[in-house]
Amino acid sequence: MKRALIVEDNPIWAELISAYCRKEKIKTQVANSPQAAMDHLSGHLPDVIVLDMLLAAETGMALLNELRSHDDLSQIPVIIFTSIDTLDFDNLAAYGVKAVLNKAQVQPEEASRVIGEAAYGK
Amino acid sequence: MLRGMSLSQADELPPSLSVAAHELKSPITLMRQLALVLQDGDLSANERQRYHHQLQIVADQALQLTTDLAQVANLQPSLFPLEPVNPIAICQSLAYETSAIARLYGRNVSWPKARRNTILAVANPHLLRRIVANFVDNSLKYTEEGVPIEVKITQEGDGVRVAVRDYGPRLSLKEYRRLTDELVRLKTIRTRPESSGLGIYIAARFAEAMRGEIGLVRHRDGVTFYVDLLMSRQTSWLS
Repeated sequence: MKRALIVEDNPIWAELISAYCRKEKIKTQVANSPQAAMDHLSGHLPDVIVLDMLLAAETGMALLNELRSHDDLSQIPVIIFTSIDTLDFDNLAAYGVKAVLNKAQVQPEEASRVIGEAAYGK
Repeated sequence: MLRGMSLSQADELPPSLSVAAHELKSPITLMRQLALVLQDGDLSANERQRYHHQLQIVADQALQLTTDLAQVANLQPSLFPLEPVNPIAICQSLAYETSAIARLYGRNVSWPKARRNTILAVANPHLLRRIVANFVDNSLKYTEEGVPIEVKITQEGDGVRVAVRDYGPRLSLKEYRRLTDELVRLKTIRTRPESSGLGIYIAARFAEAMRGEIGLVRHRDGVTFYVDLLMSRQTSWLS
């Protein structure tokens, strides 16, 4: 079974994204900060990371930088799940970001599909 | 910390519309998503009930924020008269109200218990309630799951302090200095790097309307936000 790491500090959003993953038969783990995500990644390599950008302690950008600095972690596809309207996808692609989903516009089915495609390498 | 610095003398810079819009966008975006999910015919009865409950919590938060903003814009003394207020009673009713959101975040909030010699503050009950609620909300968002949050009431000289202590991320000295500067100047107060700080700004304005002030204490393992109010000479049995 494929696995996703969800980095999200809002518990309701984390639950919703977990539900979208389950639709694609993806098992999930939630980290509520970049530090918690790195702790998790030290023992498990997921097939996809779903990352909120505005987190409590550090930004999602801090985690992207951290991921890029490790050989194995830099290979994991990242889906950004954010309410920021002004993210530059071209810039983020260099960090392994496969797609940016806007929380204010995304449909649940679309979120499931995009996360699934990244996890299954489609 | 901030003692001796009068907020009434502060250079008042209200938060920008973009900050308020961002803070309101967050719950509205989540409500939209929950509404979309609730259209899914495959949901179990339990899932449907849970999503409904979450939708209600988020809607309440959005409504409360809009109410706070409207009141900040119109803090006339006649609308928010001061009276002797028992802060423990305020905390006890807030404990009940915030229990659902605290459970949702997996946090344990400890509230002060009733005691024989109650300290009374000169306050407006609604404004004090909203200050403490905003402090607790801030702590819920910026702490790790499972860590405690403590609400305390103490007598400080001739005043009463209601404080909310969290064990969230440690504030760097740079962040701490920026925050105290923002508090003193009553700017938008970003309590953590990614916070808009609107809730703490609202708390600061509400405290000012009660002739009080808010402040913070930096700990090695978190932050205490507090509001200092005048102590009432009214005896507690009248409260």
